[in-house]
Amino acid sequence: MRATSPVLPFTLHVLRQVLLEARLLLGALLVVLLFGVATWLSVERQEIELALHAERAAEARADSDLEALTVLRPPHPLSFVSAGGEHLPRTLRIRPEGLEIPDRADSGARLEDAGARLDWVYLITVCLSLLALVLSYDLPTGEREAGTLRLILAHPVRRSSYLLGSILGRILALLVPLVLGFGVSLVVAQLSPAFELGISELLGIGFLFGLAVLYLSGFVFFGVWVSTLCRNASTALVWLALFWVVTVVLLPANGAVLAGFFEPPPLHQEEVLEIEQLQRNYEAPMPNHQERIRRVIDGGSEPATIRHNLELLRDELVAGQKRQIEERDRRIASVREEYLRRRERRLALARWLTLASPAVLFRETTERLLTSGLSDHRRFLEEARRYQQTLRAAFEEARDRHRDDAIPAISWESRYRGFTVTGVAEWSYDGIPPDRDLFPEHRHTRPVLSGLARAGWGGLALGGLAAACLFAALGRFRRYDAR
Amino acid sequence: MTGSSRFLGPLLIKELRLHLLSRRFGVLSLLMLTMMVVNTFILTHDWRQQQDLFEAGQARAETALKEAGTYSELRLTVHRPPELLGLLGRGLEDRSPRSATLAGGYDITRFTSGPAHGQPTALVPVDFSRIVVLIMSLLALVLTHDGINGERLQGTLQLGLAYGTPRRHVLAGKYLGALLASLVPFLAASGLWLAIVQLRTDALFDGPALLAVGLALLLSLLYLSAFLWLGLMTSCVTSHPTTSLILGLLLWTGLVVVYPAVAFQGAILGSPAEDPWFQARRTHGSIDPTDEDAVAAFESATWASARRSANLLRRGQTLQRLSPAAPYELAVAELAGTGLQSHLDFLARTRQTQATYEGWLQDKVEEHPQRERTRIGLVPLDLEGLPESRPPRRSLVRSLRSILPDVALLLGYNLSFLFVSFLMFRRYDPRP
Repeated sequence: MRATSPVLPFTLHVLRQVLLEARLLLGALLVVLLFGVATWLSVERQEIELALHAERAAEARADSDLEALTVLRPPHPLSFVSAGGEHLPRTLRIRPEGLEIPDRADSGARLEDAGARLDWVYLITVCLSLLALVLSYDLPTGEREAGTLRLILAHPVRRSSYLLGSILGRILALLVPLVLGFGVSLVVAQLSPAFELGISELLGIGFLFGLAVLYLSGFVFFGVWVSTLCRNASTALVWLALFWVVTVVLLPANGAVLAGFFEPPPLHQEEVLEIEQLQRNYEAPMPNHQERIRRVIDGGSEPATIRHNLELLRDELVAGQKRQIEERDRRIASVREEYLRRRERRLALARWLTLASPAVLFRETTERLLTSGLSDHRRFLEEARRYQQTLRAAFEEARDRHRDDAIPAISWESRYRGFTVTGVAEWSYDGIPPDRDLFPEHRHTRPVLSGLARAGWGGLALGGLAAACLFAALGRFRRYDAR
Repeated sequence: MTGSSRFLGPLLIKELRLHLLSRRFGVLSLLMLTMMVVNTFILTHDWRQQQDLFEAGQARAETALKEAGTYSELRLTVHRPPELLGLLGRGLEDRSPRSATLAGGYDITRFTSGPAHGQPTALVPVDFSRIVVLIMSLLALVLTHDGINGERLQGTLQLGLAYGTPRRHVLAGKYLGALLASLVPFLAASGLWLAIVQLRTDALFDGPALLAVGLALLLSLLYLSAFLWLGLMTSCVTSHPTTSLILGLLLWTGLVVVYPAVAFQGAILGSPAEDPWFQARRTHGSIDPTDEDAVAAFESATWASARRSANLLRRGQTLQRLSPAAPYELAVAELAGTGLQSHLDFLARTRQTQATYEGWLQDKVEEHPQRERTRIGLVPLDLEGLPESRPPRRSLVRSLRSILPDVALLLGYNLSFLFVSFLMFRRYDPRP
């Protein structure tokens, strides 16, 4: 008799069976509950974050002047889906010379901000992936131990059809808590004005659902593959539990350790010390000025000639000082830029070196898709850098416009034999608001469609891993001893 | 030896041998040792870097004091040295300020952020206590989840009880066997940790530090013991090892991985009032160093903001203590001098120094009014009686007092899980 391919009957049978099992019911109940609690917490948190953002915006307006502009990264409209950026800077100071992370609490890593954020991505990567393994560890070992596998394979069915049907049934059963969780969470989010979901947000959630199915299917395929490699279900579960702990819990937590091999943590203290040192090293060369002014006055005979020569000397001295100040500012900006770059390198390394974890791969892909977390932070920095480039001329023009309002920041005065020479090497524009016509408003954007393009490779990688596990499971099951 | 206690020794040896020869024990032990070596290596490197910065910062601050030409530009800096024992438990080491610059009323107190400045908390390297929290608890569950139900399925439990082995001895044998087996990777990892720290930091632990390390190791055993009882408890309440492993994994995920995150988020909700810093901003706008009232208001807001953060953190830590991982980690951090109490001590000491410094500065300005804002050539300032800016020395007695509730809580977890295990095992049906 020829073997037939009844995938669907197997799927429906397994689905019915699994849906009534305590492991799914208990797991689903916990997961749905966690989705609800997590979103409720996120709603409360978002309200706090929005109020904080309003405060920061007011602070930014008060702080922005012709010395530096403060720009903001608002709370993400889908922070209950994918958070992760709350420890990263919310504000940046844009100076004509470069960018700076302010030293206030808004710069991230507040004392009270400990622990991970409980968002959809966390629940999918940690809780649902565990449920996926718990649902798949006994296929086919559980059936073999119960003796039913031999019975089923005695019928004219293809092994692959049986395995695919059983896998599909489990994946469909796993979709129940996923869909319920998403539904409960969306209802909770919609009940609050903190989250306003538009078309682009719903589109993002739709793509995320597809990614979640891909990710969880990968875990089911992997669970089945490991199960085909073991003789009994409990051994398979122990190995799967170890795999899950290492890849989902330990590896993501060790990003800093792996990044530390290549990039030690850039310390803010180091940046502050270097800048202080540069500022201290710069000294207005007053004794030298005094000496040269004296020589001009002593060497001249006519007061008019002396005054003329003193003016020339003053211009020369001020120009020299300005060059030094420019050099100092350039070096301070490069210290700040180096600190920022090292931070970015470390963040990127910590992410890239842990991409072997499917949980990290899923988070990275989601963050790219929704422009949240690290991806949002990277975009914020890129936008700020572009904004800074466009503002260089604006700063110059505005400073020219407000020269009369500026007060001397570095100046000197020299008196000798009735002559007085005054030089101003640097002006302070502190407190002078930036002109609206010269400084366009900064707006942080999070486009979903371009995120889709950036997330493409992540989706492919997740799909590739899942397919590899599925083929490995099918290949192994062809030779599996059903006795 | 009493009649019934003769069973305990052989039971213990059998359990120990079984565990030591199992593959799961080997894999988890290897994982623990690898993580301990790699993470301690990285953390000691970070510590050395921070120690160099601390010394450089102190030297530069002293030079700046000597070079200051006027009292208004004088800045007193209080540095917080990196804690060597922070390698045991990071606590708030990376988030607590590294230094505070005091301006004595000419500007507000400014803090320099720790290494976590603008970095996600996930980027803080995993320390000794975190490795114990994650791996030792997992090892405990993996070793004990099938202790009772596994033997029942094989029929050996019924056989053993038929020979007259008291049930309490079966449970005690399982517990002690798993505890002794877990001690092997734990002691090896602790030894490696100590060796790496000693070799790479050139800093010798003094008496109190060694005592703190010893106490932290004892606390680790107490934490491990709680999870051993939890594993045996799951084995007693279920009939199949896979079910108890699933239950154990769920509990582990909930207690060690998920709950601590929820607890901290819960703590931020309904937080007491808004950040006083923003209130000061609304009232006074930007900080104008020439406006004494504004400087005083911002100074007061800076401290109130720091207190608010500490209160939120305390609230989060209280909620976290529902998981056995929290009292262990928090107690180790307190012993290491990186806990909340040490952070508050640093803030209190800095604030006290700020008040003394402000008084000193006022006296000096009254004494030399011409030097307040005017440089007089290269004539140095009169710095006699300048307040000491050294951070306070840690008191082990104080740390011990502050960890007592956490130690009691860990003991409570042990006793609760032990009690439930005994209660369930008394009525456990040993038939396969």
